[in-house]
Amino acid sequence: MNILIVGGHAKANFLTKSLKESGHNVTIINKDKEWCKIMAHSHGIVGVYGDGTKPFVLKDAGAIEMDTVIALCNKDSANLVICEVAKKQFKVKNTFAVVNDPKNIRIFKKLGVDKVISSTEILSDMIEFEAVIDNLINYLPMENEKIILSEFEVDARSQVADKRIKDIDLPPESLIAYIIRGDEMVICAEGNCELKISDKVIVLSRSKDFAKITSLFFWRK
Amino acid sequence: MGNNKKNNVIVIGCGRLGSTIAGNLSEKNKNLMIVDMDQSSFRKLSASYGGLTKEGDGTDIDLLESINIADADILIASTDEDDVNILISQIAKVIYKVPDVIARIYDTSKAITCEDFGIHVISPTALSIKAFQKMIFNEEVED
Repeated sequence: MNILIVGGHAKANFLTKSLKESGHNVTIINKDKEWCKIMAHSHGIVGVYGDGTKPFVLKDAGAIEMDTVIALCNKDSANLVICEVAKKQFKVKNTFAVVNDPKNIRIFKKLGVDKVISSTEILSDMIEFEAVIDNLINYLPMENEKIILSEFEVDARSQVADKRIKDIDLPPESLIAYIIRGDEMVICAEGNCELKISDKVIVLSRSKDFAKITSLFFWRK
Repeated sequence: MGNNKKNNVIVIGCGRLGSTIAGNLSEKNKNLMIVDMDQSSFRKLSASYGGLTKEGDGTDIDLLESINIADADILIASTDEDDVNILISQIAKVIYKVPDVIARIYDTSKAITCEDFGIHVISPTALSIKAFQKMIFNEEVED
């Protein structure tokens, strides 16, 4: 797919890297001339210097050839204009805007932007998530944080409660190593072992899978 | 437009254009509400201005609702940023169905964003070009 990313520094950089790795054709527009050069060199992409809210700049970046336009500017209003010009003038099928004000999600969608996410909302969700994991007892990163050893308590509201280990959707290469029930330690070598409420569970996982593990045991207060 | 029954007017952006329009309409006995991020902008309003003022972000729907945008007959987006005027005018027209919405947009190439929504666009650039053409070549030009 041909993807155009307008604005953004760290976000644009990260997104470009991951989109390139997935085999997409990425072009960026940025108001910061130096950043454009850096991005073009480090990712081997086309970097267009200019204000992406202006139709002629979008045209120079080949907007007409784009399947997707992603607007990452700091101002919500700029991102709306970018998506609308892309859609109305250059007939771009997929427009994607990041907004600061979560209230703008609904508004932008109603105005015709295809996908809208609010970084503020995601950030506050994540902080809330981190702050309310009440049943994560121990957390130990190992090997430069590649591996995480963690201990969870099974709550009635956890997804894993009353499930057999083989029925739990664990990420591959993750392991429920021990179950501690009361004072007794149950070594769990086989999948028929059932997790009971208030069991403590020792889990080994890769750090990239930790969010998934957390979601299995997680419950909101 | 031009209907005298249209009484409730909201002006967003109290610059030279916004403050002058608000002053003129206020003298014609319209109910005016003018919004600006900067309280000190309201000094530009004429002494005879009889409407209300509100300090805040005109793109924030909580603010727009607090000034009863749904009851407005006319909304004028006259901040100094095209993108902000485009956002405000689209919120007013599409979300709150304000009958007459006017946006000041300097960059005429951005007017395309407002066309299908039935928003009236005033472009100082286009107006200046027209005036020049008339003055120098003595000809009227099409829009």
